[in-house]
Amino acid sequence: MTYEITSPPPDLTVTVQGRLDTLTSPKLESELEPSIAQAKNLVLDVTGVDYLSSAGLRLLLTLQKRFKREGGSFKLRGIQPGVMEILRMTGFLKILSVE
Amino acid sequence: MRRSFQLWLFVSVALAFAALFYLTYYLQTKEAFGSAEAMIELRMDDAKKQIAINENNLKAVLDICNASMANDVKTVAYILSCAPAFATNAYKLEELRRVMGYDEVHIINRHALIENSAIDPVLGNAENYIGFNLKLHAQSEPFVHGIGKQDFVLVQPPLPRGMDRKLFQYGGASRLDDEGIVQLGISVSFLEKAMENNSLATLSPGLRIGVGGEILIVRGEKIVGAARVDLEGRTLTSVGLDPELISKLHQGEGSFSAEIDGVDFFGLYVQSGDLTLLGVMPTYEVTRKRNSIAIQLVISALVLMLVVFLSVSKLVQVIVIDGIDRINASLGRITAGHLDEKVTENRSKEFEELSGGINTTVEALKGAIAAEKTRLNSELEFARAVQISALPQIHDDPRFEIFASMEAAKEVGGDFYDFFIVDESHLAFLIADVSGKGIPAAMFMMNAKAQLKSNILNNPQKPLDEVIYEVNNSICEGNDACMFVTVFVGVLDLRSGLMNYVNAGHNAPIIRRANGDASWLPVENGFVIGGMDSVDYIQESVTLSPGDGILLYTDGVTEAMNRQLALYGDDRLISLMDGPIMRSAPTDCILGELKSDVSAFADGAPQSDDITMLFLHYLG
Repeated sequence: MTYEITSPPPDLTVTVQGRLDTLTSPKLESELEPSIAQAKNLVLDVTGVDYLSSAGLRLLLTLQKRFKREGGSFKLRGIQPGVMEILRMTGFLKILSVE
Repeated sequence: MRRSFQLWLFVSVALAFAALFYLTYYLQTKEAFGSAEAMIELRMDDAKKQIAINENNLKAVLDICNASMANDVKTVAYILSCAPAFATNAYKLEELRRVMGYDEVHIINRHALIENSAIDPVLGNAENYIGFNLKLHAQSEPFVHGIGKQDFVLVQPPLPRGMDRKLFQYGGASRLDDEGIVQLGISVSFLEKAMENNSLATLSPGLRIGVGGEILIVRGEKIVGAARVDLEGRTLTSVGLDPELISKLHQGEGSFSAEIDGVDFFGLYVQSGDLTLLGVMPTYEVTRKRNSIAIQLVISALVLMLVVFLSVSKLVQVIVIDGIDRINASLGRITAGHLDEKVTENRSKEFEELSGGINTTVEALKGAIAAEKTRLNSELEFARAVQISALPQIHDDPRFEIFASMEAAKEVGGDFYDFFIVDESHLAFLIADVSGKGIPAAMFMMNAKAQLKSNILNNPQKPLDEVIYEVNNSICEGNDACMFVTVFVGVLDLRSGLMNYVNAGHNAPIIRRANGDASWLPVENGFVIGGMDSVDYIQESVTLSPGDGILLYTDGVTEAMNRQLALYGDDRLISLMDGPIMRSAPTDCILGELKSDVSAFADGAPQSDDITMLFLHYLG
């Protein structure tokens, strides 16, 4: 998993490549923490994400709750079919905003 | 470390170089001025001696001249007493003048008046002098005092006279024939040459010091002798010396530095009679040798410094820094987790001890980690035992069969299944997958499992979606870790075969009809439990006929990976379930066949997630 901050806070955009699983999701979460702390809104570009485990879902849930609580917005962009299937099955599509 | 050492080394070497340079420069300067002083002193002594010799020579010449003239004038006085005619007769006197070889002869009477004269015709007319009163002229007045005295003789020093200022000397003696004075005069141009030879100006060119140094001979404020023509005749102020220095130069002796016509000079001064001698040398000449030594020193010391710096630097690099780098590399591998790494740096006793110390520490650490791992393993095993004991036992009931299996990827998994009799005619069954693994997931799982069971048991009449709604809110409370669980739960009416079910974010089950046809159970994808409170769920239902079965599973099945990181997938699962193997498989072998197919797919790739499955066979 690699990532790149393509737009700085407050309108933070992070582009992620690879798998969001048990190993990579906590890493992404802790490394993004400083940027997220300054962000008002977040767009997570997951065009390059081909797999999402429950740890990845948990990261999405954490982000969703956080931005909702702070009054900002959290959106996903570029969801691939495999990931879309997981989001659909787990009901995450009901609570997440998708661009 | 290498950088800071090199900096330190560089500074030390540079300081040593600077100290050496300063010391040499200081000693060379002292030496240069010392030898310049000695040289100037020597030349000043020469100059003093030469001046003394010249003065003595001139004095001797003048003494001879004076004695000769005194003798001649007394001779003329004697001749006049023997032959008085010479005194009165102009022709006789002229004869006497020529014989004596003088330019002028004057006979002066007792009234100080010239009464007879003889003069070299080239110089003038004798008649013009007759009657000249000696008292009226400063030069001649001293002779008046001899009138009337016996044995009076006066020889005047040579004095410049007339338009051309030629030296002329007068001498006089008391007359023997009568009261009065006889006077001789002569042009002493030969003396001029002698005095010129004695002049200090002619002395100086011979008194050079080195190349640009010389002796300046000073009388009062004025330079009367100098090797350089442009200095001669000028005053000390005009060449640039300040008054304070000038007054110092006129007292005793010593050394001084000053600018003369804009050039720095070093010099000595000494008094010699009414003269002051200044021996001066241009400072650049004094220090030239020192400067060339300094340049040579700087070049050779720089080369030496570079050699010392490079060789010490290299030596330390080889002896110390390389060893430390190697140890650091080993430490890097150790901290990266390779605890089997051995530090083998042993080029010196100290390194050997250090390596040994690190190795011992790592060994001790490994021991501690192993002990901790053993403790953790035993705890995990215990947790596993608790988890397994929480799973329901297989019921012996004529109305249904249940088969279940759980294989955790780690000792403690996040998956679980459950089934229990709600009342005499209802069977509840569920499968769940907690996000995460390990102890936290297991604890979350135990809570979720208990909540689900108690809520379903306590509300047998409530629609299942409402029960799940309550369970979700209850689990969400205080769930700060944002853990969640996907659940598929069904309640089967064992009399009618009607099965109500709610899917909370879990994989869709497969319904296997009695004839072997298998298909996806249509499910509404509700949100996971524990993720967010006040989420609505939807209850659905399907009717099972006797012989039909439901397969529940977790994503450990569909997301099992092979070596190429491909997923097992829904398609392979439904094909297998609907395929010939499963159609002919007895119900108690269905889970076994499924497990074998997943293992065959994985082809030895390690299991990354819990694999849990449950097959409910409705018998009617």
